[in-house]
Amino acid sequence: MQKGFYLDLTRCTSCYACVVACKAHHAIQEETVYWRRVLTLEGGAYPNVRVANLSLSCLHCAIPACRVVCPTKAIYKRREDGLVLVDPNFCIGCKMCLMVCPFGVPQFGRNGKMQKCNFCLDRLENGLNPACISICPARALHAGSIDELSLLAARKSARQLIRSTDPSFFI
Amino acid sequence: MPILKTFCSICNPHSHCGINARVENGRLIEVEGMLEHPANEGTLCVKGAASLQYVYAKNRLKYPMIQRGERGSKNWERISWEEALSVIASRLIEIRDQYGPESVIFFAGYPKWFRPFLQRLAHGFGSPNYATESSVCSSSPTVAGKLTYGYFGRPDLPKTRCLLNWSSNPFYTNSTLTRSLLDLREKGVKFISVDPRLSSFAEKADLHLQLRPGTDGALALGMIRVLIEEKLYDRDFVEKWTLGFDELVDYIEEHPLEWAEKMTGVQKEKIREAARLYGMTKPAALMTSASSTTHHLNGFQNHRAILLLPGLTGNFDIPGGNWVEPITYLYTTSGAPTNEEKIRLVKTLKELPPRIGEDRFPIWCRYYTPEAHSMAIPFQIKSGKPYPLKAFIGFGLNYRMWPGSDFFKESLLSLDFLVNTDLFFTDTCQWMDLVLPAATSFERTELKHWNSKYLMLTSPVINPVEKSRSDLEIIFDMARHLGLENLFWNGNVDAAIDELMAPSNYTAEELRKCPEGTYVRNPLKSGYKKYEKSGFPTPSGKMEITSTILREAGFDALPIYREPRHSSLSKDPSNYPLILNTGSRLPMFIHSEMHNVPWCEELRKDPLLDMNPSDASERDIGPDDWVWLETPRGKIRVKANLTETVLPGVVHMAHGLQEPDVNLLIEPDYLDPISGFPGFKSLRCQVTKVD
Repeated sequence: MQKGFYLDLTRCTSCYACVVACKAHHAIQEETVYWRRVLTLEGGAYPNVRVANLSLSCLHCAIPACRVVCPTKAIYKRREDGLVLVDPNFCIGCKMCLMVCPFGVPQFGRNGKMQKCNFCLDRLENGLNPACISICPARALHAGSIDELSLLAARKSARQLIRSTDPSFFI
Repeated sequence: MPILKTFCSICNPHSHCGINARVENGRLIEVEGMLEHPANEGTLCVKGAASLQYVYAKNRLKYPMIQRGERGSKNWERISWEEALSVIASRLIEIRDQYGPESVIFFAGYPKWFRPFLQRLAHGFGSPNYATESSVCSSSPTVAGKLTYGYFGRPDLPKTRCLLNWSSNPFYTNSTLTRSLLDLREKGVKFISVDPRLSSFAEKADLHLQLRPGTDGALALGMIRVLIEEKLYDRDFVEKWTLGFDELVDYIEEHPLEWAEKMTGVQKEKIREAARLYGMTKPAALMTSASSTTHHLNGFQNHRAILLLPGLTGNFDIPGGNWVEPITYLYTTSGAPTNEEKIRLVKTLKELPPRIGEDRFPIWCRYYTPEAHSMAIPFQIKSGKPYPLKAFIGFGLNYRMWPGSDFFKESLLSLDFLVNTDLFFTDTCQWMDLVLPAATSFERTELKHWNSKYLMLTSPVINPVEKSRSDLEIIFDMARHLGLENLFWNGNVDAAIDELMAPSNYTAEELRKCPEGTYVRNPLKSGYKKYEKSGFPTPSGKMEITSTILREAGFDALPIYREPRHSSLSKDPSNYPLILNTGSRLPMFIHSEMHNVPWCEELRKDPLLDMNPSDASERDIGPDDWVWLETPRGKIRVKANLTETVLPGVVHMAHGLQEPDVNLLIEPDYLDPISGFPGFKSLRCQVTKVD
């Protein structure tokens, strides 16, 4: 079953805990790459202003554009859970994936190879949620199978994000 | 890999999160929230998430060091603990012999848990001058509550049906409350937010009153007018339990809602709606910030006006209202009584000379815990009156906390002897004669009480980094060098904890047996409406709408609204048309902390000035342009962050940065006459583009 994320927009507070949890768990040096980001979007003008707090990482799309264009097949999709992963041994750093990703996910660190959210594979193996999920003080961010997420999301009238790549992301 | 239990104590004592620490070969490898801990339930905030870089920060102080030659010469020499403490003791005794013990100031910044012991050291040494950062934090609201009710209570969140949040963003200041607040909202509890910014909390509220900074008193009085006009107040309570209601009615009759609208900038319909929602939903609770309402020249009275709301609506000391629970240790209500007072005070105030600030802020000094007032320190250093000050022993001192930070620094540098204990080699440390390296919560033993009726006594999960030591051990050892070891359990920390916890029958040994912490057994039960038994602990025995104490001291007895000295309504053709609000909390920093932690620092790298796009376009300022932020006292170079979440006409600058330091722009004596609190949030400024 495809795995993915659900961000409950009614709960996210733009607190950045997920961003740093991700960096700390994957030992990502500062001022290099972000596997997860928080965006605070504003709409309207005073006094009618709306704000959306968005925590975003790779959305592990069902039809990942990055995989389609990857010339060396470094990007692959796991059969058992649909996670989109990258094998650095094959990546040549051509950045084609970055050009086609609708969400600007692919990151390139000092070694020039693509890297991004891997759903905390090491934690997954131990039956744990990704670090960003476990830390979330708002319990706004959820991970799980598409079926579980769609049930959770339905309670808040959230739905799966519709894009050509079919992201595994409810919002 | 073993998982060891500890907690994070980076932020304030109402939060603090249980931690699972993974340690390998004596080194901290990873931290996670402790699932079984009632405060954080497995979660952490952004600061706690960065613990690894915090503990192993590049600028950790590693050794005791003495500055040879001039202050600021960077001529540091590493010395042993024994030598450092001997130097400190001999200098302090010399100064005591020559100028008296009161000439030595003992100061505590963050963290807070060792404070009672530092006060004990000060008093044991003979100095009344134990001061803390609370002189700009929670103490003004505390005193405002004492004068009005004799005590005050936090919002009883689990049972409330309406939460009036007055200028706090708990998502960023007390992240452990985040889940329960969001759950309340999902249950249909109404949220009202009073905040000059559309904060992440305000954005989730049913009603947001976006007021002009500093006009909180006018807004509260406007709401009170509606409550009285529409008879939404608790008449029985008012008749039986309040003093000065008639004076309040007279005042609000002269101040129609149009006045409140003009002062606050909040439409009168919205004020009415908020008053109705708060007045008609039962029970309703009031949440206030530790300091944002009191960082104004009229802040103390503004806060008192806000505090009238729970009493008038019958929400004081009831379930789901503002429930008064006894404080057990360091501002928290764990239900486990302690000997905190006994440990703090080894001498009565009568046995000691007057504290710094007693002459200028007598009410604050009399009704807060017996501390000296930090804001008065630089003035007494300068004047030498009523007695000279000669030495400053800091624990977590940051001179940039003071308004007119350059003035404070200059005052500090005129003292004979300066010591600071800190985790990091901050720029304040660079001006000291001697610095002592402290240890983080991961490297020390710490006793912690939580409001959720939970206790932890930790053991170190890693050895202290280099030669750093627990603040508590440093205090105990300093006491030994000063010949005060008999006051400090002869150096035995566990014996001190035994004495502290004796009233609730816990021993250090017992607490250490549950490293993950324990729920307090038989926590103190607080009833409701405790005033019905013995009245309110105020001079009149009532809730004092008109304060007897303020009246006797010559201040307004009624919490009336006054514009600040630098009012944006004043008619003078000023060059400073914008209101400057400083010190709003950001999630990744707490005051000056975490700016040295790269994972946090990179989230807000530039010194950002939040301003409304309409103010920016008037000044030809575009997104991310560098600008000058200027007040009559000076200017700093910052970067424009254009956002519609702030009011047109109001700009917001974060505090706590080493460079640029916004506190340079504030006059050192821009202080509330009652509380001594700086007007950090009611300033005037101009913003211009950097050419």
